[in-house]
Amino acid sequence: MALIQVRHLALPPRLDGVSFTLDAGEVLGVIGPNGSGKSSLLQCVAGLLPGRGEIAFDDQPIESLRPRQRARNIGLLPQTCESAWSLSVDDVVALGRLPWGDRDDGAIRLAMQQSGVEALRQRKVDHLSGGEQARVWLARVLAGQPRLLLADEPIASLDLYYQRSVMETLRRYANDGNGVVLAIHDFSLAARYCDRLCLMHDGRVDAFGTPAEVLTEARLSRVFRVPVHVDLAADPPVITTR
Amino acid sequence: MARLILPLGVAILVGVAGLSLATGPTAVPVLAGLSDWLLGVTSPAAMVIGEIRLPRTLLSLAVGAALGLAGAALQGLLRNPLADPSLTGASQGAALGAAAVFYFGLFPAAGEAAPALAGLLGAGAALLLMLALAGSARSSLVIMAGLAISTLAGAALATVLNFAPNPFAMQELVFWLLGSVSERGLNHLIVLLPALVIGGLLVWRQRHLLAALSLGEAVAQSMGLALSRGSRLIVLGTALLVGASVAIAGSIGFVGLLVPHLVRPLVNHRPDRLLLPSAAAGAALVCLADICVRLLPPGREIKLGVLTSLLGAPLFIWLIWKDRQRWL
Amino acid sequence: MRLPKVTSVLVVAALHFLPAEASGVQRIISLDLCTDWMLARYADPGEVAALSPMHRQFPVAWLETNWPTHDGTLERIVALKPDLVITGQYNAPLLRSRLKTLGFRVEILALPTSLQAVGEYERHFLSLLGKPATLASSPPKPIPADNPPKRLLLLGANGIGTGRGTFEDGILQRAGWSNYLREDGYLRLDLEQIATDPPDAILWAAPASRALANRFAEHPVLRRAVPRERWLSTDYWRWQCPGPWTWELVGQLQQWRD
Repeated sequence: MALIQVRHLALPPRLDGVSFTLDAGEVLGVIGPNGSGKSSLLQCVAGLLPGRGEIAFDDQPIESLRPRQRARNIGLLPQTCESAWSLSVDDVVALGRLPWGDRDDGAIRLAMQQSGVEALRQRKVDHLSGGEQARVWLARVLAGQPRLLLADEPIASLDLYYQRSVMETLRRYANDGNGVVLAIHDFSLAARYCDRLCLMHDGRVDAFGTPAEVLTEARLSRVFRVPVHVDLAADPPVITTR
Repeated sequence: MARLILPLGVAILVGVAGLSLATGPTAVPVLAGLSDWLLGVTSPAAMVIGEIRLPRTLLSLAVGAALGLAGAALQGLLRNPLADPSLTGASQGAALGAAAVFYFGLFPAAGEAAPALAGLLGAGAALLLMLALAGSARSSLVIMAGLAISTLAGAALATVLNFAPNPFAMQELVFWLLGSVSERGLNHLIVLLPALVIGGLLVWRQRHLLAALSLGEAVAQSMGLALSRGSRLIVLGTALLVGASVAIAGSIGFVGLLVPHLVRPLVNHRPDRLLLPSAAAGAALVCLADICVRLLPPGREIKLGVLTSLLGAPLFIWLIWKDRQRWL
Repeated sequence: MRLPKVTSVLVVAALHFLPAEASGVQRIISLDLCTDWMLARYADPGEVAALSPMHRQFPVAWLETNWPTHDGTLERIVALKPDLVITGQYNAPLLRSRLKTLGFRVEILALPTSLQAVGEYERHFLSLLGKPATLASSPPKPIPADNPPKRLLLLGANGIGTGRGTFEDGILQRAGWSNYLREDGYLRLDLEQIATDPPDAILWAAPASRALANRFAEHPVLRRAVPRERWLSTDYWRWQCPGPWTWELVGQLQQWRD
């Protein structure tokens, strides 16, 4: 059964007839050039932007969910995150429980374990490094235990260690029976961790399928306007410009 | 520690209120006067305690609570530690509305509450203008937009006072800009108290939104909170708090800036937990400042806002300094 | 409604053709409220070129509103070609010195500071107009005070009370009251002291339109300490200028006392 089904989603001029389906337990990577509509797509699904078209969650039209219910089922990790105040890691992660209106210590502790920030729980979030912060923001979303997690470029500007750490957290979260949609620029990591890829180009879906189906040299070279070398047989997969 | 803040705040409030009742130019037995007044016995002590010092004490507490709460709410909403009623133009807007109605005797149907209602409208209009000017996404523009609005409202206030029929009106610009709670009766409290309760409730009910807004508007919205409706309610609540308190006591500067800033470390910087302790601390601060005002010799009454600004301005400078160092 | 104005214009026109009086002054201008009132009281309308704008701002019942008025600017006053400019000691210093420099005759009156000096002040004014000194008013006989005398608080805007040694204090005493305040001069009052030791009556002399300056007088404690029927009020500016109307104030206060 599909966890989420998107049909003909449009938000002129940013999105034009986007359709895809994602099952529980899968990670979907949304790739595409800057300005191709990746963020807009995630924000429409999260309910932040008013797109036209049909979105069904668990075979229910998404409009039938009240905002609070929608937030319990769909969590969004925005591209840039910042805390206006010098909150403790504990309090930031606890904010993830707001859609539920409780402070479920079990869920909070689990989220911190999943993203590996338990050791930081007493620290102030503005005193952490960028990589530590990224995991804290992720823990905040995980604390809400959404069945669908939307992450907008969660590994941009992270070093190799944190890139892998965040990707593995997302992968494990999907393996637990949840869906993950992430916008990503690193094709090697996308090929390695995603079950499906959605290549966006000018607000449309250019290709949708398994990494092997989507990541072809000809397609990537056309969409990104640079010659691209693809070797999916290598371990890990290699996708780079020539 | 964080859990003890509110009980501690209330204890301090009671102490300050007691001190305020005991402070005055004539020596009067406080408890006897208070009990006489409560029992309806007419005695000089009952008059002094019940009708002069009690209204003044309660008013300073209510005004301080309203300003502390409004400051905490505005800072949370705008995610800016510099946002406070006077720096966002709300106080000047409220003063303009209240003064225009007061000196020209407009809306007589609303009676004593007319200036407070006009203050609410003025504060609300100033806040909305400021938000429209700054745009919700760019909190760095808030202070600049607030400066523009407060300058405009301040000039309009001076114009209104200039054309007021009473020749003393122009001198009273000082009151509207610096504030005072002297010579007020319990009737003023009847106007202020509902505004404090309703405004406080409006803000308090949005505490989850304020907490979520720490991480930005997108996060707050993605967590299922009604961002635009909630923000409007916070603005309305703040306008009620600021409008009524300025209409009664003038604009007492820096309370809304100083108090949340002092309280914030005690509540682990959480904007939702900041609200009530800020109200308590604001009440205590304004009441203490008023006690100092009364200790000065008569005839040289220093305005309340002068004292709070003397405390607040150095903090303001320190905040700017700290912020600057963060970027250097 | 237009009729009185027309009549007065006719009167002014008629007077214009009458021979000038012994003093020779025909075009008098005053620069402040007190000299406005004195002129209106003692000068013939035809001799007055213009009164200051103050008399419109602070109206009194006996002064009609159709007096010619200047706007207080040098240009306007020069254009009126006055042959006598009258003003009080503390008023319009810059304007009057400029008028003097331009060669106009400027007479400066020292305001009386006690009731005894009022008659002398009036006689001086009359001599400037070339009128007989006998026109000056004479003070009513002093009235014996009650024993103990009733205490009256003269309360102005911003909670300022009028103490001893002032002109107003003289008026109160002449009317048989005793001043509630014992100190000299004008004093900032304290609400708590008045509440604990209230005066027998309060004379409230301040602008009636709303202002925070009236808050002291509106405070419930003061209203309670001195019942409504013992609050007297008068236009505050009636106290500002000494003159024959001072005796009316004395009479009024005396009536209130009884």
